[in-house]
Amino acid sequence: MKKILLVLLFLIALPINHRYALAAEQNVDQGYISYLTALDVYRLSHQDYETAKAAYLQYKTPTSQQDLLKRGKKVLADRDEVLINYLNFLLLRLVISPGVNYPDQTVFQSKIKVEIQYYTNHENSVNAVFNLDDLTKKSQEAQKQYQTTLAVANYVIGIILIGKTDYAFSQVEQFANLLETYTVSNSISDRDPGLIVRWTLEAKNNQLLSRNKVNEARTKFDKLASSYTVDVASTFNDGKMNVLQSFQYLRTQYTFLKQILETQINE
Amino acid sequence: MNNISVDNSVMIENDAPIIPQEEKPLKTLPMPLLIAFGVLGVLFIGIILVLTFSSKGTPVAPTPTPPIIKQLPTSTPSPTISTRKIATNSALQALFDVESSASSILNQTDFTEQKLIPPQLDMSISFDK
Repeated sequence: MKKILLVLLFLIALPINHRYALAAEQNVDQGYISYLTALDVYRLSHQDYETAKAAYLQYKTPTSQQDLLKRGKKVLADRDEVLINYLNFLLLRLVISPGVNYPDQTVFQSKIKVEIQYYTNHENSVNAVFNLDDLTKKSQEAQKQYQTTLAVANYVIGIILIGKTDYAFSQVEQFANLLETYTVSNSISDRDPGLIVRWTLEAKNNQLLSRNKVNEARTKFDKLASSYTVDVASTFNDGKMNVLQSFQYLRTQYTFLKQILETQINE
Repeated sequence: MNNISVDNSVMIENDAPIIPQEEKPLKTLPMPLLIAFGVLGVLFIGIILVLTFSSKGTPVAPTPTPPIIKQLPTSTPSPTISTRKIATNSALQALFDVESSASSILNQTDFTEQKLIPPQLDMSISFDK
């Protein structure tokens, strides 16, 4: 009876889980569309701002000044809106990323939310400005915050990339473990035992190298936590390079394992 | 009733004399035939009853079977070739499934993540120069 109930619960939970996953992916797509829409709006308002600024610098009339103030407030608000939408999209993307562990999910979601809150507040404060000097100050505040935002965004992207590698790593590891169990339990002799042993050692060596590279990548990405002491772009690129190297080692490990499997089948 | 006269000596003219009918004697079967029919009837009812109860799944008394002398195995029985083959096939199938999953992940993973790259924005907007 209990078994039947468990099976029924599993059958009910399976489509629900699938539906949640599907809904999460749809949210990500929707988030990306919103981000692109906000980016288009910002580009248009930036053009308007450039035109208004050129007119103001040329004529210096109160009308052109008021027009610049109006266009300036709009471009700053639209810029904040782009960043809010981008960070929202990043947040949604982080949630569905495979391989990212729970503590990282929690930490980075809160980091992103702090950034979103900043730009939301900034957008509201921009609307309350009544002269160009204050508007310039508001722009500079956001410019300063943007360095932190860039570091957080790159940090999150790095964590997503590591999550992908970890996920692939777990799959290859499962394959390796199952293959080892199969080989031992069936004790299938092969024509060249030395070759199998060598391939097995090579596979394990590549697995180890892959892990080391992931750890190196994590160390580099962790530096992005202090955005003012590092070059965000170069630190991120170095970490990403380590992730790619790690993944390449995983591919090599998989190739050796596949060779062993094919040998077992041919026996 | 109207024709009945008071004088009992006078006969009713038109009334025909009633002739009493003779009773036919009952034909009885001979005793051996009756016994034979009785036996056949009992047999028929018996067969009907047996067929009825056996079709409804009523437990029939089991026929006594000779006792089976169980021999304890002296050692763990080795799997037959067929069972070993099935076990190997299922293990292989699981292995292929995992291998296929790992392969697809390794081939489909994309590290470019173009969509995630932060937007290029003019952060140095100023209104005084």
